[in-house]
Amino acid sequence: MASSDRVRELEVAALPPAEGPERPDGLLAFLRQGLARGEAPEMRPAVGLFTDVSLCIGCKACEVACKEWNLLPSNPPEWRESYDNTGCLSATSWRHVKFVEDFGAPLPPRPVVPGMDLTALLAEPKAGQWHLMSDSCKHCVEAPCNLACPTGAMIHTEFSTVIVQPDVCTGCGSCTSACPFGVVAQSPHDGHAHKCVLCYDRLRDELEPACAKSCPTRSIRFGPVEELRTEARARVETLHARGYGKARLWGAEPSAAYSETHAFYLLLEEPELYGLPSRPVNPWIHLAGDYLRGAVGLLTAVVLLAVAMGRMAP
Amino acid sequence: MTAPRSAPLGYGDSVGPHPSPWEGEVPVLDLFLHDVGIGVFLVATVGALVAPETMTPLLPIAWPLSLALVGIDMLLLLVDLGDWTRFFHMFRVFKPGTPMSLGVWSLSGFLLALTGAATWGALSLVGFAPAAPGAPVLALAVVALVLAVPASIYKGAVFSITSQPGWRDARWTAGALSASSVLLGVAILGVQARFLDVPAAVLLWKVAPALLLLDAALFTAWRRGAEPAMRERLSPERRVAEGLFQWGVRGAALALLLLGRPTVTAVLTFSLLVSVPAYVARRTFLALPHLKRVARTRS
Repeated sequence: MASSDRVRELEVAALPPAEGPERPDGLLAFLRQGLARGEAPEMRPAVGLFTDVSLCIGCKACEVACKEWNLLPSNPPEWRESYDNTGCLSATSWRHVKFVEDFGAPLPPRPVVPGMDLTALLAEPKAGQWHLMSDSCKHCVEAPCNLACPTGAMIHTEFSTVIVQPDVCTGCGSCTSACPFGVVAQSPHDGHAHKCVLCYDRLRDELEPACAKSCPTRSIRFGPVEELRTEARARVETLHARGYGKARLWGAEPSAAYSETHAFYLLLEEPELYGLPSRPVNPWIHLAGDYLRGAVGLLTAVVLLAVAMGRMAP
Repeated sequence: MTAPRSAPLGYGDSVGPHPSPWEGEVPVLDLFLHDVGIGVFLVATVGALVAPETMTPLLPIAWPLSLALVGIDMLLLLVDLGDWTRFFHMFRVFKPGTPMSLGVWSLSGFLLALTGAATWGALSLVGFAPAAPGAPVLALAVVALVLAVPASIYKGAVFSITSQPGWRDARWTAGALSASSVLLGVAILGVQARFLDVPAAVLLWKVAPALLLLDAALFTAWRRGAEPAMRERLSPERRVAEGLFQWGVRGAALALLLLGRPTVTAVLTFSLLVSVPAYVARRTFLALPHLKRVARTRS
């Protein structure tokens, strides 16, 4: 599979570049092009990512591949605990590998004994555990960023992924404020919102996203969402059987307050440990009520004003 | 030996959204001027429809004033955009389910209709138009009045429909801000009426207590929603000081309305007693997502 992929990718790279839209000539044409809409592409099967943190080795190949493919600039490293120097998802970091060193006090030094039994060594209690996770946009089915966008710059694609169309983003910041996971971020350079687009250009060329392609342990898996969910459920059962009782899926199923996500995770601990909320809430569930309360507040004041003025006017 | 862990294990502290880019004095001013501008228009127009003889003399100044205030708010909105040259993209789609989209469309329509009414007001001031608005001007004002409802409400919903700490839990933001804008309109027009020395000054003084009580009720509901985030992010001293200030000033304003008469000093004092806490409340609320959590010590 890997070799055929490689050939295909090279074939795609050898194709002549597609012609882009004509450049607008004059202010009126520029405005007209900005307001024009293209034809919606035909819907394709929903695809997504299944990230199995139990397989992540923290190599950051996904981060690097993402930066490479999407031409994202490097960030000045942040000095934090452990090996995480990315800090958080941002306008220029669409992938973030998280490192949690879950170790207590170190074990006492062990003398090196000739002829040490490896099986016995593996059976000894562990000093602790690394928790590693590669985070990115969750590509929510009901995405708050998409709902918040006033210009239609944030859209669901034909692959049911969520992307920003940078040419129509005004940088209003609604999506950044709405995303409950701290994914969408505004660039200080161009003022526009940026986030993982699940390598939309690669998907259109029937290639898998750069992060999944580069993952050496298949911790990040790409494919049709339904297949990934089946695979993920089976993996949870396997881990439970192996004694990882806390293994669970995050984002694979909808809750009362949040839709399912097309990039979901298999976690070994509580979601908060990895910086994910246990019970995410889509702020949009309150919209009708908030509009109603706004109308109640305003209309009560106006009616009060009108009645009082009508009665008290000389 | 390893040093004792200084922070909780993992990324528990970073669960949640990026802080909103709506930070600093520009969004606060934008919100405040928006509410004052729409409030001035609402009070003047509703007053002119309900009590035309008393309130019509205020229109030639009130409508241009409202246009100026909302116009400055729109300019601040532009300034606050990441890329202001792309504002026209806001008109690509109309999404009433997106408060920002609803706001841009309704505010633009409101401004358009208000410009017509305000033009009459400006011409009337310099003697080029009759002292009372004709039917076409009143029709424009009614159109603006209808559009003022979504234009007033959307702003609060823009904040409550986010994932930002404090904003996301304050369910009465839109209601409280809209009611507060009407009270602000009464206070500002009260000053105008006093300086013009027209009977509207007395009328506005009389209706103000009811609106002040409504404002206090909705402010309580609004603040209750934001309370968990305020506890988390404001020091106890600051919360107490702000609470005392907000309630003390409201109490003083009510006492002034009930015990005083609408003299120049009284109406100016009342407008300050209404405007300053309104500005401070908006400023504190908008700052919530950007404040760090206050460290708690166990006594």
